[in-house]
This record gives sequence, structure tokens and C-alpha cells, in this order.
Amino acid sequence: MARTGGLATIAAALLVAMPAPGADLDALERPLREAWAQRARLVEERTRRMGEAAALADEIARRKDGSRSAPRADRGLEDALKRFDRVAGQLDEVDRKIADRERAIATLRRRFEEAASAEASRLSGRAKAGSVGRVARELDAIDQARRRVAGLGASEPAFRPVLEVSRSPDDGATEIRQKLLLLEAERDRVMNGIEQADADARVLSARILVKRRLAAELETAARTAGSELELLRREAENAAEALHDLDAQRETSSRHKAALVAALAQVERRLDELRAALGQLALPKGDVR
Amino acid sequence: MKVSYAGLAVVLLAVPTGVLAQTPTPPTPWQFEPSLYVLGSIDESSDLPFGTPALNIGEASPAANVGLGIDFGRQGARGRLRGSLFALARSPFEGGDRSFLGAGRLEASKRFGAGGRLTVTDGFKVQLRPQLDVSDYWANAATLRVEWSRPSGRGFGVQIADNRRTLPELDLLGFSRQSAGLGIFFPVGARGRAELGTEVQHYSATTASGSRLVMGGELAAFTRTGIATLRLVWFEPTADHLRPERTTKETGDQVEFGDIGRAEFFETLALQGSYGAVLGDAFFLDPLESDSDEWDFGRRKQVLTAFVSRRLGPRTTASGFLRLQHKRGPNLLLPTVPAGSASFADDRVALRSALRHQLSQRVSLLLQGSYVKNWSDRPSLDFYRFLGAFGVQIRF
Repeated sequence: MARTGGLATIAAALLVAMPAPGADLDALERPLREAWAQRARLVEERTRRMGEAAALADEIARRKDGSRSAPRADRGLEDALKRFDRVAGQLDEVDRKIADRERAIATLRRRFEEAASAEASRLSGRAKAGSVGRVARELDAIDQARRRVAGLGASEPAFRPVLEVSRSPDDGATEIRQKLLLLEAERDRVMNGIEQADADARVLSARILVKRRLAAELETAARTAGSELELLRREAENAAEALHDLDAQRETSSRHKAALVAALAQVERRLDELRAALGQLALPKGDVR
Repeated sequence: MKVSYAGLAVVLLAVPTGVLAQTPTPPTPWQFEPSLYVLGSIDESSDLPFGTPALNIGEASPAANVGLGIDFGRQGARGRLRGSLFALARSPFEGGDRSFLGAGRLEASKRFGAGGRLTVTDGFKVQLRPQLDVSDYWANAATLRVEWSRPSGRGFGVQIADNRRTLPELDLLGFSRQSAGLGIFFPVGARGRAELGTEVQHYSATTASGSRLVMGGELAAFTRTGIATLRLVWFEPTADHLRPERTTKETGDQVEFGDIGRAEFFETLALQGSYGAVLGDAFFLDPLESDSDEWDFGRRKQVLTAFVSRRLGPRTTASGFLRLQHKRGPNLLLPTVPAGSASFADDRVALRSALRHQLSQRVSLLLQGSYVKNWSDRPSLDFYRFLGAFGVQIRF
């Protein structure tokens, strides 16, 4: 009798522990959400560290220009690079962690999609056997979960495209002034963006300089030591690839800046047009110049 | 049959990068950078440089050496190809001592998927000495390696390799060796890396064939002030098949061909000087295991290797290399009867240090010295060898 009671307890515990429909998806969504949150924190940290690195990068850029002719400036550059090396190492570490999170996110996302598809197929099969209303609710819950997952990361801070503001034929002075204010705010935003892109480019250039020296040192070491030492070879290859990735980042950053400069020119043109239109409206009627 | 691994490497880079490319940057144009080397050398030794007691000829010392090198490469979004050719004339003004060394390397690598990397390397070297054919040889080493790693630095890799060397006048010292291995690697702390690996090697030579197991571990630290690495490797023979009809007493106890070590010395010196040649200071790696005592099949061997490198200011780099080695086992070049092939032991210490100083954008000073000392319970294998070289590299 006692044995029967024990089995019943185990069965009850198993029933309670048995996941409800959609519990698998919940279990997959939670770590995905957490991974995105971790990534967002890392991206914030990266932005903060980029800001810290900017001052040193400025100094390196100045000394680099000076070192082409003066040996003393060369030593100054060396000292600045040594100081920057620590910051660059921290940025490398954050980049590595971001890459790690992105990889985890990709894996979790794939698992979630597979589980959602499997669950949807299972529910579709059940719908044929009856209980359509319940199945419809559960399918809806899956769709909602899919939308939530698709929305993760969509709120990433990115540079919003510049607003297209131009004069309409029926704009009066008030509307034009409002548009001017709006465009001036956009111009300031774009100029800040360009400034930020410049600062990022300087940090990237300094990181590339430091990484290039490291890659050269590792390559030389790997060659001097010979093929016996495997870790040197791998580290040299990793450094060369990281250098290439930084170069690609610089290329992307450069394209981003070019787009911002073009946007700024467009905003300036629109501002000129609106100011001219406002000037014409301010003229007394019949005054022809 | 010698496979054209160089061709394979070119094809590898030409494979389209595919949809996984994350950085669609266009490939860089081909880059070529030639160099001229002018080196003086000192060579003092008590060994038999040509591996046979029949020729007791020493190397010229001091001697002049003139070398020409060219480095080339190209980088794509997900792959790169790099290579080098190097030619050196040793004692170019002394007819009897004049010899020519040629070496070339090619490496192609390609990233695939998330964290995958495929690398093909091929290296060759050839030596000709018009007045002394016995020193002629060529060697080739090719490796195909696939690795997968996570951003954290953990990963694993597999590789296959083919090494072979031919000595037309000393057929016994030639061999071919194929190997397959795998390894795991992982970070140790913030600046450390470690690797554990194992490899199976199969060899075939004139007097014997067989296989051996190689197990190794490596630890390295990459700090802001320098690089240090330590590796311990154990070679364990697993099967050896002697071909008694091909063994000979002529080579005595000599199992090594010291002249290969000399060629390697100059090759290392020259290639070390070629850094920064192509692709933004990045060059290629040494796929050749060009030890002069590579013919040690059938012997148990333990090798401890250490390397340190440090940048001494913006223009100067110094490095030091240490190799300690203990071997025990028979010499499979000798006949089984009489007891010529009985097990014997020998120990070796090899030291190499190098200094490179960039005088200007085009001119660098090179300095390298190496010392090898061998002890053995067979007197013919007791020897030392000192090589030193000093010179300049001029880039064009």
C-alpha cells in the first residue's frame, strides 16, 4: 500500500513538472532575451570605452603626423601607443564578448525557430482532430512569441536617417519657420554624427596601428621560432584576421561618414531654399528684385 | 610523387567567398616586395656537416653570403594568399666552397562559417653545391589544416601533413613522412593560451618504414612586454620495419645531415628579416621542420622547446630560442647484426638568439647566432656547432 502511494506521488510530481504547451518556447525565449540584454550591456560598455579611447587616439594621430620627420616624436608616439595598448586590449575583449553573444543569439534563435515550427506543425495536426479553438489560441501564442523574438534587438540605437523636409507650395511663413527649426535640429544631429564618426575613426586607426604592430611581432616570432610552436602560429593568424576585421570596420565607418556628409550637404541645401523662401515671403507684395 | 600543393593553395583562395562573407571588402591588389641580403657568417663546429665520415670537409669560416628574396601576397575579404621566394649564395667568391640555397613558401588561408579556418601551406628548400654533389638536397613540407574556434579562444583543429627530403648522393638519409593529428586549444587567463595535441606519423625511408605517435602540450603568454612560449613533445615509436638488405655501415653513427641545419639557419635569418614585407606587416609561417637530425625514426624522443621575444623600442626586436632534447633507441640506418643498431642515448641543447634593428624604412640590421651541443654515449655523436651571422637587409 505504501508502495502504491509512493508511485502515485511520483506520478503526480511528474504531471506537475510536465511542461504546458508553449513552455518549451518560453524556456527558449528567456535565454534569448537574456542574451540580447547582455549584448546590449556590452555594446554600451563598448561605446563608453570608445569614448575613453578617443583622447588617446587623438594624441596618437597628432604624434603620428609628427613622427614622420622627428625621431623624438617617434618616441612620443611609442609611449602613446603603449598607453593606448591597454585600452585597445579592453576593446578587443569587449568585441570578443559581443561576438560570443551574437553567436549564442544566432544559435538560440535557430533553436527557437525550430521549436516554434515543430510546435506549430504539431498543433496543426491536432486541429484536424478537433479542439480548434484551443489550437487557434496556442498558434496565436506561438505567433506572438515569434514576433517578440523578431523584435529583440530591433530597438538597437542606430543613426536615424535624416528627415526629408522641403517647402510645399502652400507653406506660409510660420510653416517655413517650423521647418527651418526642424532642419536646423537635423543639421546639428548630423554634425554630431560626423563628429562621432571622426572620433570612432581615430580610435579605429589607433587600434589598427597597435594591432598591426602586434601582428608583425607575432608573425616574426612565429617565423623565428619555427613550425614547432603551434600557439604562436595560431595567435599570429588570429592577429592578422583581427587586423583585417578592423580594416573592414574602418571601411564601413568611412562609408557611414560619407553618407552623413552627403546628408549634411542635402540639409544645408534645403535650409538655404527655405531661408530664401522665407525671405521672399517677408518682402512686400509687388516688390520685385 | 610530389604533389603540387602550391597549385592547391592558389585554387583555395580563388573559391568564391559565398554568402557568409561578413566584410565584403574587395581583395587588395597583388603586392610584391623584393629584398637584398648581404651577410657575413662564422661557422665553427666539430660535427660532420655532410653526414658521412668519408667526407671530412668543413664549412668556410668566415664567409660572405649574398641573398635575394621576394615576398608577395594578396588579401581578400575572407582569405589570403602569401608567399616568399629566397635564394642565397654562400661563399660566392670561393669556387670550392660556393653553394646555392633556394627556399620558397606559400600559404593560403580561408575563413568559413562562424569560426572556421582552412589553411594550406607548402614550403620547399633546395641546396646545390657544384663542387661537392654530396651536399645537394631538396626538401618539401605541405600541411592542410582545418580549425574551428569560438570567440572565447576555445577550439579544436585537425591537420594532415606531408614532409619529404631527398639527398641524391646520400640516399639513405632521405625519407618521406605523412602525418595526421588533432588538437584542442583554449585560453588560460587573460593573456595565456594552451594547446594539447596528438599526431600519428608514418614514415618511409630506404632502410626502414614505420610509424610513431607524437603527443604534445604547449603553453604561451602574450603580454604587452613580450611573448613567451613553452612546448613539451613526446615521440613514441609504435611500429618499425627494418629493411636489412638496405642498411649499411658506411654512415657509421651519423644520423644527421648538418648542412641542412646550416641552410635552415640562413633561411630563418632571412625570413625573419622579411617581416612587414607584404599585407600590412603580416607574412607567413614556417611549415618546414628542417631539423638537421630529422632522421630519428624508431627512437623515443622528448623535446622541450622555449621561445621568448621582446620588442626593444620601436625599431628593435630581440628573440631567444631554446631546445632541449633527449633521444633513446636504435639507429635504423644500421644493420641489426652485429649490434650496430642497439639502443643508445643522446642529448642535445640548441640555443638561438636573433636581433633585428630597423635603421631606416628600407634598411635593417640583422644579427643571429646559434649554438648546438650534442652529447651521446657514442663518441661520433659528441659534437658542437656554432653559427653566427651579421648583415643587412635592403628592401626595394
